Amino acid sequence: MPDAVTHLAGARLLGSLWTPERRVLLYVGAILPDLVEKGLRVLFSSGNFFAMPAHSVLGATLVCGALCVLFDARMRRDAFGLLWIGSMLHIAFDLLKDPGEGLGLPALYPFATDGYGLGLFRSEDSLLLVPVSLAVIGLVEWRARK
Amino acid sequence: MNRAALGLAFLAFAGSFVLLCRRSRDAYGEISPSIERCLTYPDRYDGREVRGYPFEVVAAGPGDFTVEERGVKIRVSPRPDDVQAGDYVGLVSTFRREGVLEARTVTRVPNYPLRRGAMFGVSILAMAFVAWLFLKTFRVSAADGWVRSA
Repeated sequence: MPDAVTHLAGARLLGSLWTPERRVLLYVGAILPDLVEKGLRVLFSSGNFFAMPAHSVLGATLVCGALCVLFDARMRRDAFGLLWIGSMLHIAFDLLKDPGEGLGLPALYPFATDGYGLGLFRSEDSLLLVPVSLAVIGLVEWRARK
Repeated sequence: MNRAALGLAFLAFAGSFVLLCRRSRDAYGEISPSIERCLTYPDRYDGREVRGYPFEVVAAGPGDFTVEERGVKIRVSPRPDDVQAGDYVGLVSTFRREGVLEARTVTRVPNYPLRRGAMFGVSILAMAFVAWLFLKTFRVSAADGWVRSA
């Protein structure tokens, strides 16, 4: 995964399309696949493979479906949509990285077991993107307040 | 929608996700078997590809080295000259029933724990910020679930 700041920078760029309170749901969606995957790994001491569907389109959609049920009826549809868009943005960013000797991102699981990755950077190297991500967030916030 | 229907909807989504996870564990466990599984069933996994990113190198000998995955160790050969005990490596290899891995690709991952730790530290701060924003924007209502605070 790239770090959460990079995911949030992407969500902040796209988030200009929505009001600040809706944007919060987009941010949650943008970190949701990692939260779910790490949470499952810690809670159940499971290996990587059990939690991998958190980073697939279908798995993330199911998680968003479960979470949107917890929201007020008036905003349930919006909650699902924004969480889902955030999660898809997360998966899209993760597809940029280099799977190295690992399996890659199982974005299409269970329809395909192949792993994908464009190979632009290694997961732990995404830390180098943090200053760029923070600059993007700062610039977008500055423009929004002008 | 009443509460029973909502509860059912939640269970349907969450249950489907858990089933997907169980299926994933079984499917990928076969596609890329763990070292533990290979050592438990050596005949079944003889000749299978074992990949890992990264494995910790816990010992290095003249012609081979030992890696550890979730507490299970296995010998890997041959050893590239630059791989030492304490390193982290990405590995593509073939399992042999004798309980060894034949390395096809070994890639050193310099300073892996430091870089990974820094990335997690930054990510946890960012996640804490999102949690704070969420709790500022939404509150829990016993009747309606998460509602807008204002």
